[in-house]
Amino acid sequence: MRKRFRNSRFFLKRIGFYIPFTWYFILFCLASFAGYEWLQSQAGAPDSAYKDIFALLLRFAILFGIAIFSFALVTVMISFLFFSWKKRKTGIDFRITTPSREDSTQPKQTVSFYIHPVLKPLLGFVKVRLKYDSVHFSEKFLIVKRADKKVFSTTINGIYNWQLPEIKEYRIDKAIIYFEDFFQFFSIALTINASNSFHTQPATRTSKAIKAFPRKTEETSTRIEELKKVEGELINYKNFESNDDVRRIVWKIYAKNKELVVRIPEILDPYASHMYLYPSFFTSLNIQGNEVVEIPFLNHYKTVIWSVYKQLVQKGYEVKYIPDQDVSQTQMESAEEQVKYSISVSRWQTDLELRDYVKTRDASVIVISSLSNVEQVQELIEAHGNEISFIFIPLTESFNRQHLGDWFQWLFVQQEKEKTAVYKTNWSLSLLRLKVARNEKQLKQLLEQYDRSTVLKKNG
Amino acid sequence: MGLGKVHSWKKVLAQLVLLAVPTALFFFYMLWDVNRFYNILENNWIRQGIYFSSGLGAAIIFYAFRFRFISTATIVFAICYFTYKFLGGLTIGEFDAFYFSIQFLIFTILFCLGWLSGFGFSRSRYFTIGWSVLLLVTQIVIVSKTTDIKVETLINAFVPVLAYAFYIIYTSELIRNMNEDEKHFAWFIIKRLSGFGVIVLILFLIVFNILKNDFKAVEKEWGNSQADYNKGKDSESMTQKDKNGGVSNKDQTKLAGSLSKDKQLIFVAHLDNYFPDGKTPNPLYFTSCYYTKFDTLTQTFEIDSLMPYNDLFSPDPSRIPLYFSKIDSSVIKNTFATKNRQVVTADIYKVALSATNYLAPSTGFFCQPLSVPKEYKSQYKSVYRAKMWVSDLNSAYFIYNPAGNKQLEAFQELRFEKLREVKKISGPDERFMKYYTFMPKDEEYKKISVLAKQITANAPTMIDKMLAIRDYFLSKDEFGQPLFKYSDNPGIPGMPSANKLTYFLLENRKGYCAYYAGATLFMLRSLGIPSRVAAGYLTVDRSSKNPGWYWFYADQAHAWTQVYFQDYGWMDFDTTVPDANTQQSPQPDGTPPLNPPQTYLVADGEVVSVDLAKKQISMKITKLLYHDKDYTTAPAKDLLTDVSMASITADTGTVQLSAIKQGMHITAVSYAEALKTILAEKNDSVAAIIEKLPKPVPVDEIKILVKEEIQALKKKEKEMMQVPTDWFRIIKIFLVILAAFIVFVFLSPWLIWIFINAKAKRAKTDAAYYRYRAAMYYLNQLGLTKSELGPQQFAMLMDQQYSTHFNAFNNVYQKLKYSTVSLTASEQKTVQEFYPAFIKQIAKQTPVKTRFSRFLNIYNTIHYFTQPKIS
Repeated sequence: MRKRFRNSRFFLKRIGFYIPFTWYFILFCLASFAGYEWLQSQAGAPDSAYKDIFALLLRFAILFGIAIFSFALVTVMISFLFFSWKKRKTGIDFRITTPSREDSTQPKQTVSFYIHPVLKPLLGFVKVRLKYDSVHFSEKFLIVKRADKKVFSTTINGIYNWQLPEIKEYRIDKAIIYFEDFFQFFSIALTINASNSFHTQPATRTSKAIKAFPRKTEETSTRIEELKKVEGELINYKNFESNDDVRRIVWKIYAKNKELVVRIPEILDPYASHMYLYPSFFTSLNIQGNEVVEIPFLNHYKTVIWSVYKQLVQKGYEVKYIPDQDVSQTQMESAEEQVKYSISVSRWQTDLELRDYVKTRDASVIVISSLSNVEQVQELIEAHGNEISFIFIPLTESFNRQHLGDWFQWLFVQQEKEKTAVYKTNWSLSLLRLKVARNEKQLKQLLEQYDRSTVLKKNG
Repeated sequence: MGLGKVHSWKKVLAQLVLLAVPTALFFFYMLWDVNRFYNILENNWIRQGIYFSSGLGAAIIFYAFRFRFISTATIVFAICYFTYKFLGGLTIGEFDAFYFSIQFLIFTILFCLGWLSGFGFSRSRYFTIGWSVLLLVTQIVIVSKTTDIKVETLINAFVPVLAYAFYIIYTSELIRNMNEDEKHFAWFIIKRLSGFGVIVLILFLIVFNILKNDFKAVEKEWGNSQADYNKGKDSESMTQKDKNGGVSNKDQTKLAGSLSKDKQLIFVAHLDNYFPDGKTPNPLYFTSCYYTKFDTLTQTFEIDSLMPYNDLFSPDPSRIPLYFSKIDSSVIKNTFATKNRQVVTADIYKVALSATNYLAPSTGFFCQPLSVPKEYKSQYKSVYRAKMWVSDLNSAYFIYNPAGNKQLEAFQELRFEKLREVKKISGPDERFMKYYTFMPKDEEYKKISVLAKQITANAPTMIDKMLAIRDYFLSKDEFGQPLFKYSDNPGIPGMPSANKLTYFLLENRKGYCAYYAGATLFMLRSLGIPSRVAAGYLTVDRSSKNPGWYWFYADQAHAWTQVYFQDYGWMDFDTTVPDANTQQSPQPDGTPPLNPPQTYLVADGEVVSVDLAKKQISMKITKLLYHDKDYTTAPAKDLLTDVSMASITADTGTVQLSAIKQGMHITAVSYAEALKTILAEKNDSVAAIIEKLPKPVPVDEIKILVKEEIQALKKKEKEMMQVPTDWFRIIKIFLVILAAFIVFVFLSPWLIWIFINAKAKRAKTDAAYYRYRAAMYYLNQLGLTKSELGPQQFAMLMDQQYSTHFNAFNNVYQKLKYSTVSLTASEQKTVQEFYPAFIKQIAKQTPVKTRFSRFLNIYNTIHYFTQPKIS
């Protein structure tokens, strides 16, 4: 039922995109009608100068209105007909490119457009709406034109800075081109196919310094301050267990005190070149359909992971990012871009648990979220808490805490038109909130005991 | 606490400049207009405009931040409200507190209105729609109520609002669509706005052309000679001044809040009308015009030149030659008056009365300008003699409102007895009756009708009905106080559109003559009695020393009622009650001018020559009056006059002899004793008389008559001054200039090419330079720019593309430019042969369509002239 409702709403919305006039126009018509009705009641006594002038001025206004609107409609129609004729005849050269950006403080994507041939309505606008990920539509937007040296140009070449809420990969399927007049009363739409994909990138934030060291030796060129145990010489012994290698039993000890002990092959290696970063997107809680976790929490998580990665790289370490899910291997310019892409496209998953995912011998840094399984974390941290840095990102802290002052502020100041406010409300009403909070609390307590572990707060 | 912004400063600036400024200007205009009607505003439209603008501007800036509207506006309004309450509650100097609180209330209302609209412009997309429609609709109603019905006035008042309404919708959308990332926003806005302006102008012209005839029809139907009421206050005067300061009765009179009048002497008249005893002067009211129409909307009495059986004789005395007369006997016929009528003569000496004005007791039919005796020239501007078809029963003594004066009442009874003989209400025909008994059909006028019936219930005849109405105005209320009072400042009803006559009759009961005359008129008309309002001067006989001489001052300008009686014609009745407060001021009547001297010769004609040294004028006479006998000459005869003793006058007063120019139309008058004895024989022709006269003829007076053409020219000048700027013409001219400019802009690349090409072809010296320049220009215009290439690289590229020999030429050109070695013969040949072939080759390979479109591209041309030159 709900789905059907959503489908029909979606359908209606789509139909709405193709209505050849705007709400603005309907409102104008309503206001004019109301004005006209009121004027009719003011018509006055017949055979008076007032009545005659009144009727004349009214006629003047109506005629002028009709003239200017007809003109507006004609300009739109010309552009629309030209475009559809060209579309059928020669085809439209419609190109979308999405250059990746250096600075990425906001989830904003610059989209470049090239449309040819297109005739702009006189004084009017050509607007575009993009359909992406099969079901979503962007806002209707105006392309910022690049400087053009032509007087009459049939090309639209420009950019649009698209505010996108999620850090992920987007796929553009279609573009709806709107021809609008100067009043924006008429808006005739035409769909053209487009195909492009891009991913929005996580922003870099400064965060608390992380104590972590490389543990994996791929090259023996870098000495490390803290020696790490590696497989090698026989130094320690331990009690024999059933699946131990019988060849390692130290018979000398057995001879002395009848104890079956085996040698632990362990040495301390002074070399380690690489730092392996294990971010876990595993969720132990049921987050199905929770928009807050899916969007703002995930964004936050990705941003922090990326920041951690950047911080480690900046320190001069060779950092290797080990994704916990399949990421399509596209050709990227650099390893860093690849990591960025991996982070962008990652999602919460339930397939690969932390325990199976982390290779404790290599791991330098493990990033966990509020959704991670406490037991598994405990298990790992107890075993390797002194060697591996655990970084915990409390997701709920991606929202700023509410203060009394905020309420006062709310009274007078409008929130940004983002969804943050909505998410906040949704989250405070969500059943999941308590579970996550409990999980978070436990994880925090757990991590506090270990020196190497860090809890990364939003502004910390 | 970070306070985010909704709009960037760029956008806020655009909103302020493009939305707030026009709106504020529009409001200034509207407040100025409103201030003219509401005294409470005290004509502080500038200050009030500033209140509104400050609210508007402040709100636009304030709401550029993320402030919520409801909470913040509530605080603003609450502050205003409590301040108002506080000011109202102040006890010190109650009046001041009241005054301040009212002023503050005006401020609050305007500021808050500005604040609201500022918010609307800043945040609400839909606000502009409502705002525009509201203003447009209001303006339609306001403009429709105008009294000044002219096409220009209507268009000037309405079109700016119409344009503003669409402008606001357009601009607010433009600003809303303004992209923060756009770099050249100002240029974008300018381009868009000018484009929009041009479209609106063109559409407006088209629509106006369609409706032009309708506008003209409205002007023709309703706009007949409306006076200018834009005087600021709701005040009215019974007289008006022309451009020379001359006073005349107005061709309409409006029922206004107050009457302004002064004590200026207007004219002096000698009326040759006496009671049968031949000694007692019998004064008559002097009539200027009749108001037969009433505009219910503006509540104004008006002259109607189309009134049936027009009996108004209104010649222009300044246009009639001295001593010659103008007669219209048709007005006598149109009075349909046969009983108790006689011809009476009056001499009117104008002091402040307009030169063009003709005043006479009704019904005047004759006008003869006379010359003012020399010794009175400084006192009187001009004089004319009028003859009237006057009824005995129209004596001022009969007409005066007796207001309890028993003697006068008894005297007037004589008249009423006579008029009681007229039993039947009737006119010459149906049209006449219908016209003079017309009454607006309206609830308010029905009230008048009811009152009239009530008052005249017991009056059997027309005259009794008339008297009943007069007596009603004189009646007393239950406290013994007069029911009606005279007041020059009766005030206006609270509602501007309320009917002033019913307000006067039923509520206020105070007014000046126009109210009494108007109320009487509609009461009579509601009873089916044909009537009209007459305007002119009431006559007061103040002097017993000079019988027949009357002095007229500005405060004697008056309006009264005329009733049509079968056979007796139009009879005057004055129902205005005497002014209890200000008695007629005891103006001393001066000494009347002596009778003009006997004129022997009056010659009318054109100036042939003026001899300033001898003070002689030679004129070609067309008309001659000699010893009161009229001669017309054909062909015209020359007459030499001696003007050394003559006083020369024009319309406006005494002038110098040098003012007389050849070809002027003058009238020369002579009182010379020498002529007294030279008598004309019975059959003498003009030529014979001139023969007898001394040469030159001594002349005592010369009057310059402004020639028709000059008059027409002056009239045109005057019209020019009055006609408001013809905006359509200006718009048309502007559009044509704009179109020409656009065409010029697009043609300029081609024009420049023609010049450069011609120069290249013809150049003898520096041929290589001019040809190189032309080639480069041509290529640049076709979009082939050198940009970062070197000259040689570029030339080679061109050669490659078009198989030309540009490089060879370029080498020669570069050699010429940088080296001092002279060219070889083959190089000379290259220079000679290169250019035409090159252009031809390029043209051949570029389609005409491409060339055409590229040559329209001004950007390429600009690029050519702005590209960095390597020095």
